[in-house]
Amino acid sequence: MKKILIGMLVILFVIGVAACGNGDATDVSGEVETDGGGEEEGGDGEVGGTLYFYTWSEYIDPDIYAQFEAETGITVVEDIFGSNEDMYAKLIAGVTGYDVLVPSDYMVAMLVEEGMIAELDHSRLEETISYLDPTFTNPPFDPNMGHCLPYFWGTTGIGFNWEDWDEAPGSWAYIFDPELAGNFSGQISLLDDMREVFGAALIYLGYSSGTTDEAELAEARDLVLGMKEHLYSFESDTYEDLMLTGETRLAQGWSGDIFVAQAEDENIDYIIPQEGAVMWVDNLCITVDAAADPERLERVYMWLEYLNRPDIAAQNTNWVWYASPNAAAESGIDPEILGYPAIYPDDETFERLQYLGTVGDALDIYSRMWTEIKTE
Amino acid sequence: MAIEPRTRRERLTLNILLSPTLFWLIFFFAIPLVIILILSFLDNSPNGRIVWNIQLDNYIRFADQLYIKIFIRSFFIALITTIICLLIGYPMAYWMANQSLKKRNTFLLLIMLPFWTNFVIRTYAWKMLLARQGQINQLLIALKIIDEDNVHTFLNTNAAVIMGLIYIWVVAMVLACFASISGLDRSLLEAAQDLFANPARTFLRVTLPLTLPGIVSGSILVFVPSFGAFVTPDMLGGGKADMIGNLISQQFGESLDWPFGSAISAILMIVMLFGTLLYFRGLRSGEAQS
Repeated sequence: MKKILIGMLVILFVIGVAACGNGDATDVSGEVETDGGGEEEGGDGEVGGTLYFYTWSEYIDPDIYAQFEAETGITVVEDIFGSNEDMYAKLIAGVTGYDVLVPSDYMVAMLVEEGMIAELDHSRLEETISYLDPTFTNPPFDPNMGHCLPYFWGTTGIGFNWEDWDEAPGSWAYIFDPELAGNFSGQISLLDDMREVFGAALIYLGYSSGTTDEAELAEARDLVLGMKEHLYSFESDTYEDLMLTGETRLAQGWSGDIFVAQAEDENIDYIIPQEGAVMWVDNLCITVDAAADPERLERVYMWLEYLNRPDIAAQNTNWVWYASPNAAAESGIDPEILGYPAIYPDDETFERLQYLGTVGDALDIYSRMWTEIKTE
Repeated sequence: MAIEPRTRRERLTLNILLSPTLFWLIFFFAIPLVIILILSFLDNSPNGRIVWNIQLDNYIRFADQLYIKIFIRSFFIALITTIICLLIGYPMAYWMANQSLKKRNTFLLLIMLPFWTNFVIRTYAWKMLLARQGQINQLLIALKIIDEDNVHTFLNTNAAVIMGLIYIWVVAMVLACFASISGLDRSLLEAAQDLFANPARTFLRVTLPLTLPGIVSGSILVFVPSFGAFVTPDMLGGGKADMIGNLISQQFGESLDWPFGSAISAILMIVMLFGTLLYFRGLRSGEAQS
């Protein structure tokens, strides 16, 4: 009897652990609490209530929350996601309660397709929209800003250390050419992000960063596999720390992250390679469930308006060090940021930037080849 | 031998006592498991929505050289981890079981002490130790075994992953073996010696067979989580040596393919379940023979 019991327990454990294999990756926790807005109303005709903001980590000057609350009485509750896909997986699993999301370009298109974000009422944001740089008011992923307002934008380029270079490594060849990569063998990191790695490799090969052509993708896969022996790791969260400690000397990375490292070590710098780079725009989007409730929607529009007020947008940019699509904010932005070509690239460089774009059914091809890259 | 409740009162008590466990098992084990099984037979849209189209594609898709290779590699990584854990854990448990009661408890406490720290943090510590600029390389430089321009790359290799898994799971092996060895009836060992068996023979013919249940449960406790591991290969393998667990987690994240992820999970569960059953059966017939 006892033996059978122990046996059963072990079997239960086996199934349990095997079943947990995927547990942590997709943390589909329950519904976010939304309160009806009945929370302590401030005086002076303030709106009050709570707004649920689902965004990336350290992607807003935290003071702005307090300032907004002081002015409107609305408490902003921040929830964090680590990747577009994490956020998307949570929403598609049926989690509701968020009011404003901050998805990147291609993810906006997916959310629109799936009917998860609401259309933007331009008549309520006329002043706000007039502040925006026209470059960003008709993005390919969301024509005429039908659903979202641009929040910040940036590029995915190369982080490097001036100790190693006389002239900045302005080409993806330093990472993808096996011979050049060999100079820093074992000291190069790539993002642990399927679309970004393929995007950079495809741009280096002269293809579109969001191609759906299997032969082009295969070429990109072979390129990455060819330099893999020189790769330190696939890393998306701590690659700037690795550069700081000297573990890595070259990193594919997001501009803002590299600048965080630069603040601690001025030898670390960022460059947009000559072949071009992936450019992304993160957006402020309204969930359909917030749009269905006039009270929540009122708070949402106040928040969108507030974030785009020129002084607030400038304050925010000075904190996060990404480029703001808000042209009216420029007078308040630190000249050091404005004058930095890696953050505000010149027109010629801007021409060479590409959005990732959605890939539809080709996601399966990406997935399989990414698995090959990661496991071979 | 089953405990049969005789009175209504006893039955009630039994039900009350069992209900938290039952609740737990049903809501956090049975239902999620059923969801995974159902999902594994469904289809998904390119945007990751589940489509109610019952089919076997997800299982057929797994029969791909690429995925089979990952499966086999994960199996061997788990196997090596288990064998090394056994080689470290059994002697350790044997030694501990032969100490005085007071010492035993101290050692048990020491063994379990690291468990008080989250394993992700402990794995991070290994990341630092194994880094190019890490303490191990610095020690080697200080001892003049290597020079500064030639530091070893320990981190982000299969070996680092195996080491990380051993570090985390060896405790399970020690505890399982310890439970078995400390319950060993000493008089049997004396009997063996009285019958002129030398220590090696005593160990092989008496101690080992009698402590086999501990070895078995210890091995399963190490093998199963190692096979499905995904945090350790991610952290110590640098995403370069992904295992089957990473493949599953990728399906639930970037690939937006929950049905395929569920199918891989289901395959993993079934293989482990049958593997364990076979293991038990083989063992029982082995026991019957001896």
